[in-house]
Amino acid sequence: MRRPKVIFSSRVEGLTPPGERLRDRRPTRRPLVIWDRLKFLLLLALLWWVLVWSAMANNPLISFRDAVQIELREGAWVLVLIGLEALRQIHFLISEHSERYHRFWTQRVFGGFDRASHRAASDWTRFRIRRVLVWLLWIAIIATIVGKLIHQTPVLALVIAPLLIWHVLPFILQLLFGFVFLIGQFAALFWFLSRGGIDVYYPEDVTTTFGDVWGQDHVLERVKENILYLEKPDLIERHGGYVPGGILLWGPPGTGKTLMAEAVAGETGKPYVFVDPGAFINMFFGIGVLKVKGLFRKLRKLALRYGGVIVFFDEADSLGTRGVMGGQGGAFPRATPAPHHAACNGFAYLSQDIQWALLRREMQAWVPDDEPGSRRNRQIMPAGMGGGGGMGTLQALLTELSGLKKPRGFINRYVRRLFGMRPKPPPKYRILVMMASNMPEALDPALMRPGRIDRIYKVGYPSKAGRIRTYRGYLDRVANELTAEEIDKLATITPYATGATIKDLVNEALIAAIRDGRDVITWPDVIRAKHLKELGPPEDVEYIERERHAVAVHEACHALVAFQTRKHLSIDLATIEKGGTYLGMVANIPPEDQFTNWRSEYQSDILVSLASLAGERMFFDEDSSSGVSADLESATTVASFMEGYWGMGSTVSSYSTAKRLEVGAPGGGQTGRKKRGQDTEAELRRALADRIEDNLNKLLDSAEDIVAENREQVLCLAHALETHKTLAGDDVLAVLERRQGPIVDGRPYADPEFVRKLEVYHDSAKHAHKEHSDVAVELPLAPRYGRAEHDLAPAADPGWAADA
Amino acid sequence: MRCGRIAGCGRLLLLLAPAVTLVGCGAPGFTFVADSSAGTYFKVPHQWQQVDSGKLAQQLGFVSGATPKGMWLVGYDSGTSPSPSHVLSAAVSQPFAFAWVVPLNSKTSNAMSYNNLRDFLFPVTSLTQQAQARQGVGPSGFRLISDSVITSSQGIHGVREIFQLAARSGKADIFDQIAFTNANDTTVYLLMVHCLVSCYLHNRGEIDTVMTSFTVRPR
Repeated sequence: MRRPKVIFSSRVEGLTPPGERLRDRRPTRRPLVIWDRLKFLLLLALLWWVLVWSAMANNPLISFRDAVQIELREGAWVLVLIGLEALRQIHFLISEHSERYHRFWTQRVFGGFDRASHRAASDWTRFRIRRVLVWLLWIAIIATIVGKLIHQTPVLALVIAPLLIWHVLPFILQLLFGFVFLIGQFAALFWFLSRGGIDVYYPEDVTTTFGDVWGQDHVLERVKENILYLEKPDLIERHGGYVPGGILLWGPPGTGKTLMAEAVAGETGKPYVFVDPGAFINMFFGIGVLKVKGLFRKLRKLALRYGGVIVFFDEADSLGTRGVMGGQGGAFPRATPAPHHAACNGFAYLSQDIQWALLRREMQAWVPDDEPGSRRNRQIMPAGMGGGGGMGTLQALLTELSGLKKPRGFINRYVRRLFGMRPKPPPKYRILVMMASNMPEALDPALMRPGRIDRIYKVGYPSKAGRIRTYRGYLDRVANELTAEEIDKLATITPYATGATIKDLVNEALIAAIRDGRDVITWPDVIRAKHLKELGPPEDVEYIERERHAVAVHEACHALVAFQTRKHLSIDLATIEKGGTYLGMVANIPPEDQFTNWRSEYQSDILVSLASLAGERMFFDEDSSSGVSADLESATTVASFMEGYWGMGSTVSSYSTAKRLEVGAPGGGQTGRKKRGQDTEAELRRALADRIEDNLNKLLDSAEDIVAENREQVLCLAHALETHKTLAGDDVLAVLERRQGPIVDGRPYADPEFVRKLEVYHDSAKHAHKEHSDVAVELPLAPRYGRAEHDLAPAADPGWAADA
Repeated sequence: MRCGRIAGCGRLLLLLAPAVTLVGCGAPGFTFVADSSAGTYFKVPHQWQQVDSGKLAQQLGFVSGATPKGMWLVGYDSGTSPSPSHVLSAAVSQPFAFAWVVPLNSKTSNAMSYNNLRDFLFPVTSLTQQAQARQGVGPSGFRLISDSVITSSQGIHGVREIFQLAARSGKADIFDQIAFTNANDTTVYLLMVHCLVSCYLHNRGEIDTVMTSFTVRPR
């Protein structure tokens, strides 16, 4: 046999190559510290002194001298051990000083024994021999101690030991009972604590079907596919595939995720196990793990009994993650949004290298600039066990999800093996795991890997068709007079409505109708309910009259220019009702589901924003209020993006890229290398700011023209706002088109005499504004006309309705 | 304590080892005998040998291995051929020590007195002797040499009797006996050493050491 090469540790670094032994370079034994040299000697000496003391303490006749004499004889075994230990230390001492002596013992004696034992027996055999020797040593020690205790020889003690054990058996059993009792308390406590949070609904309990899920047809189709495989697993298993085991439904709250899971249970006729999101928030470590294990035991049982089971983890994000490290690595998922603002996902079609490069750039851009005293902001707190599901719960869940295919049971795994049989593979548990979350980023990536959660579906806001169907579904349950067109309109003006908000809106409309003494919902009820839900209850703040007029003119300008120029958005409502952070507003909604924005649309957005400044200047003789600050902010923001990012200004290049690469920008700044003392950033900014300002000025001129051309319209709208405080989009249109609206009648504004009164009122308000006095002329009352379509008497106490 | 250098601790060990050796020099002079559960202690010279306790019990009329619970007995013979039969024989050429701890039943306990202690093993008081003489079983050649009352700590009290008894052969033994009882008279602790008169006189010092070492400290 070839002897392994011996190499010196000073010549190598890292691991020793296979087949080579590492030899210590030191030729003698490493000197021991004094404590290591003496500790056993001191310990044995102490033991001997204890024996002496014990002899004296046990017999009042024994003097110290007698005790020493006795223990020199009876405690001689301790002295022998002391002698052996002293001999060992002497051996070490010589080994520390004599190279030859050390080499003799390590290489000849022990090395020789080592080599011989290696030749004689394999590693496993040597391990077993060692184990037997250790056992024998312990038996010998115990026999000696027991022999001492019962005053017998160790051999006899071993023979007597079973009898002794028999005698002390009651005591041992008593102790065991004590232990069992002690442990039993904890087991009982944990068992009680690990109950709850998991509800089982049997097939007949769940009546929800797919027909109850509205507006999510595309997701529903995919979920149905999973059901097919759950019910007919052979369809896919026959071909070597496997049944997808898990579905994650994610999306905004209230979009029907839970309902969908219920519907799955209702459709398949399988038991439905609902896992409460709070089930894994526990006081003690380990309860969550017990819960998960208990849950899966129950699931396996149900799956076998009913041929399948559906388990639904609501708010799965409560399971938490195992920390940031858990999410590292891997490629970009297909739908990763671009890190920068992008209307179209200009990220997905790039190569992965470019994706990483862009992401790194963007992440650097997010780091705030160096500012004095800002250093503390750089401190990053590590994200540990996010959520309440920590403490091993998630790991237990992951293990259970992966472990469904492993053999289970004590008899199956151990007893069968004892008789030489292989454990039986487990039956195929049909468990469909469904999870819902509105924070999918908080879920652990390991949970989402195929094999655990195979399919991830976004349950987004319902499409318009879905919303119409949902509205229809909920409205069908109550008496209503809404026409198909009105329901269509309602779906249009509530673009981000979910199943839950739609249900709430219909319910609120019903309450409004009942408060009004009716039991049939009408269109105005729905509109009022919508306003209440969107704006909240009014603050009941009364403006002074001249300020009310100014706010009304301000909002009327917005509404007018929006009506005139903005075709991609409809006016949803206009109000001068004071809210928490605003004095009034004109809100818009997209009439269609549109996913791109155009230059003309952004321009009209800016026009609408600037309309307030243009209007205030025009109506109040070049005076203007601070109320336009938010308008100017949004106008400037949109203009800046148009100019610098979206290629909608006078230049094409991207400002952010020009800034990052320091290549300068058209219209100013440095191209190529920087000149001494030149600040590229400042140059770029100046050039860009100028262009933005130019653009805004141009659009402000346009806004002024529009407002000037429609002075009467603005005053009419302002009057309607002052009268009704809040106008629905249709009412705004009714005023502008001089027709009957849902709530407001616009026909009086066609009367030139009435418009003249409005001019007089405005002049009076303007005068009061200048003089800081009361408005001399009262707000004119619109003449009443007969009802055209609806009985539109204001609600008894609608809050925002007419106070005139 | 911290040994700064090996020499320091080594020196300490070198000092301790001779001290222990000096103290422990030679074999111990006595065998210390104890019944820890009854708190009974005495010592006998190291040369005295213990006799078989079972046979000793038989000599006293107990069935071997069936001694009453709580009773303890032990015998030490200083002769060259130790035998439990020496315990009550009246012609022992070498001192024989016998210790006995006897728990009393309630009747005996209630009737306990110093005279009962004196007569616990042999009829020592004249009343007992006369009563036995009437039955024709009394000892012969009885002569009381010494009688004293002893009191000790924890209510231990008793008597020490030294008396002479003659055997049928005419040889006489001197019996040195201490009998204690505890404060509530529930246990009798007895130590007796005897041998021929000449032997007793020859070993008086040694026998006295054994007798005076008899200590009772009930737990």
